[in-house]
Amino acid sequence: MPFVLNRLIQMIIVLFILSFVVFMLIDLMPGDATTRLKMENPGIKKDDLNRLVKLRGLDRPARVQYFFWLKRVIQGDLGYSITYKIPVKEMIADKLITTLKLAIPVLILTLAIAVPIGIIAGIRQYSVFDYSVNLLAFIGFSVPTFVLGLLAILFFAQYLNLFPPIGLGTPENDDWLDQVQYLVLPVLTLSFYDTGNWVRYIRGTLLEVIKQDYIRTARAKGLPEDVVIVKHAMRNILIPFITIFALSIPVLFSGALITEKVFGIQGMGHLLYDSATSSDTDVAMAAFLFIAMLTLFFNFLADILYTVVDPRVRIKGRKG
Amino acid sequence: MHSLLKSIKKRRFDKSKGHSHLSPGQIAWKRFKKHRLAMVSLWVLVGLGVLSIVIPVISSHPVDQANIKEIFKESSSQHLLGTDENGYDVFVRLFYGGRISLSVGLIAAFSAAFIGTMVGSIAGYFGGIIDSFLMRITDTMLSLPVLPLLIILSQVEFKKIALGDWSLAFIDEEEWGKIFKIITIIALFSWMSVARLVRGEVLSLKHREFIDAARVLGASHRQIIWKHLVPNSLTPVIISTTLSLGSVIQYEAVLGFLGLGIPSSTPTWGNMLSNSLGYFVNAPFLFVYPGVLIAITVVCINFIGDGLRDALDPRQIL
Repeated sequence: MPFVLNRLIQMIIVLFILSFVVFMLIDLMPGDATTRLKMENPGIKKDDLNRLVKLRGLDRPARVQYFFWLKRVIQGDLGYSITYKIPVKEMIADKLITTLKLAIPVLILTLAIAVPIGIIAGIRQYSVFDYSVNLLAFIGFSVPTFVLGLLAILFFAQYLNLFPPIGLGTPENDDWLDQVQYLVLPVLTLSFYDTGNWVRYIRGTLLEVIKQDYIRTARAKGLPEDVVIVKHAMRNILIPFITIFALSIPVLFSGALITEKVFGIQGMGHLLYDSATSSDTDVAMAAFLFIAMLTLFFNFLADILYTVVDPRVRIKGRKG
Repeated sequence: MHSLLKSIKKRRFDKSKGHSHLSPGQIAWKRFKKHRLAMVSLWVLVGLGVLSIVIPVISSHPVDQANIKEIFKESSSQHLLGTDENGYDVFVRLFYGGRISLSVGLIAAFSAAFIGTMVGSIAGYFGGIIDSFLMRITDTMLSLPVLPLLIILSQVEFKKIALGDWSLAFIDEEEWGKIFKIITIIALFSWMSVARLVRGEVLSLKHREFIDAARVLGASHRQIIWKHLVPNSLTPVIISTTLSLGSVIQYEAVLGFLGLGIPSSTPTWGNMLSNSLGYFVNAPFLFVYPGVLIAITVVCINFIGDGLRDALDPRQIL
């Protein structure tokens, strides 16, 4: 338990430092909030502008502004978007749903393909199947997603006209089938990349496990091969599997940024990019912190799960 | 006599079996050659590198002069891959871009390897508080969302940082300053795995006899780290740096694609790709070429890394 508490405190400290550093960095970006305010509200009177600047503390140095911001966030107020003129909270929920629409199918598809293929490739090491899977997996995680996405748009949307190229759903059309059509290309693009990673990972772990003594024992006592694999090997793959699974979830969110940008999907990643490039500080901070919290939390969870599931790690951890 | 004969026989036997006469490097090379994909990748990459150096020099097409009369030309004997939106020869510009993309990747990967080696060896060698402090930073850095941070860092204006008499404005104003900025921020997020690997190696090496011997002979900490520990832990550094080179090149390309990297007038693969997106429908090949080159490069580097791992991993028996 002290280990968990320790990691939890560490995570919170990192989160505070990170939010401060990022706040200061956003202040160093081109343009400033006061100018943005004036630009977005062309008719604003000088007095009103000054009042607004005072109210938001924009005339203070960034490090002071950070504490204003922190106080507000702790009270549950994420601020207000300069660009869209709505509370950040409302924006985040909307974008989050969009990102989930992309991330959840990717996660399901990736695991559904990668787990069986990885296991078969591992069992039949050095077979033709293994070689071709390996090659494809390598290409999968080596080709940058934006190159793959753009090529997919070019061939499947531009030339073959099978799917709509960009966006998420035709305007004025609430049919879910319509949205599915828009999701096919981005989901496939992102899945291809993730599947490559997963296949190699699962195959590698299986090969490690199969070398172990207890597998030899299981074979020696005459168990059929499929029982050896399913009951003895697979169970032990589960330990690292859980960890990697936890680590892959935040990557889905931040990694989807590029895919969202390529396919013009207005999700969290896109929001982060847009707000960070237009000095919409409150939005950028909220979007960044959301992704950062997710990443840190799942890292934390992976660490905890690892020690919970695998007793050997606990002993090692105590020693060093 | 008998035992001598036996030993001679034994040596012969070893020789016939393989590589008692080979240096470790030669053995590794022999193993590496067995990884066919890695060999092919190596040749492809060497080819790309050589072409990137040679083609801009021998070509008659200027790389820095736009030609408005000759925009969007089809490929012909004069322009091998046609011309782009500014009338640049695409073929020449691709390899000119290769120069910058590849060198940015190499410099960033090497800087990251250097930082990682420093941090890892110091942490492993001194242990105690220094170790836990450095490793906590390493682990924290590993758990950060890299891409969002790169996006934010790439936009920072350094002239806004006040450092007394020093001015960092050159980073915003000069072209090389911006390239420097991109290299630095990419390296900043790429050193952690090397640091962990080196620390592990150093921990296992530092109580070995040859280190004790060096210490007894009066070697300083710095000598022990740099002359004895670091050279002996280079194997994982080489493998990990090769693999990180792939991701470093991807980062540069991603930043270019997002329009946040090296200024878009400088031809890098990422920039060429991003610039051509405006002509996606009419001239799709303008983005296909740099995109495919980035993909090929990263695939090749990863294959080479895989081959190196097979070749240098001592646990593996040939």
